[in-house]
Amino acid sequence: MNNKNMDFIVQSLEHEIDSNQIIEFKETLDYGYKYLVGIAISDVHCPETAILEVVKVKGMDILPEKFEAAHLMSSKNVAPNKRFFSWFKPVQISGDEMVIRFRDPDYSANYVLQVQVLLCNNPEIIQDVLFT
Amino acid sequence: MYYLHKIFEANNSEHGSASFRFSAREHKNVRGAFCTGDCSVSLAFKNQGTVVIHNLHFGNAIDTPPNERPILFTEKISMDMASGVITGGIKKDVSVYLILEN
Repeated sequence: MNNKNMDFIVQSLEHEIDSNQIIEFKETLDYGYKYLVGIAISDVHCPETAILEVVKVKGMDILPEKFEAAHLMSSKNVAPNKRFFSWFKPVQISGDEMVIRFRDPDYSANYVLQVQVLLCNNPEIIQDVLFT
Repeated sequence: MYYLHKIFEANNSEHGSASFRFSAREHKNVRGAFCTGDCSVSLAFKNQGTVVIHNLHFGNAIDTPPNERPILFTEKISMDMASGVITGGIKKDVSVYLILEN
């Protein structure tokens, strides 16, 4: 397999959750990668009832508004390379800013939310890995 | 390539069960569907003639990879209208999504 074609990176976006209100955070995506193809929440403190009010890149919604965090969460029984949600069109990026508006209606104590995004340069090949 | 469309979101007024209908402006190809929350879903598409999902239970599937949780149809379905019923105790967080294909 051509390693150059399989080129990918997992970028982590972190933000402290300190209330049950909508919290917005932004991060610039790695300039060396052309597509965003997967998203996951790897935080054990994030409850399944949490909501991703908005997930955007370049002003375009990646996920439907008010998308339930549970769809992006996996237990330790899921292999690390299978923990990404990828049922969306690969998003072309070029060092763009990703905006997340997050709300935890059941917030009870502070925690650091960790959202992971899977970036790559060849979405066709990485999709085969994600879905098979 | 795929994209998601939320066709139903429960609100406070529903108790126990709810029916819904989704109309698209043009024909859409549906590849699959999934649901949030602990409930059962029936789903039918206009032009299809049959109920494609009948009282299927969606529970918390955190042990299953996220990409494998949706119900995928063996053939993509062309439709411009979907209707469905949710039973099994509606909570605030119940939503139904279609996976549409370009």
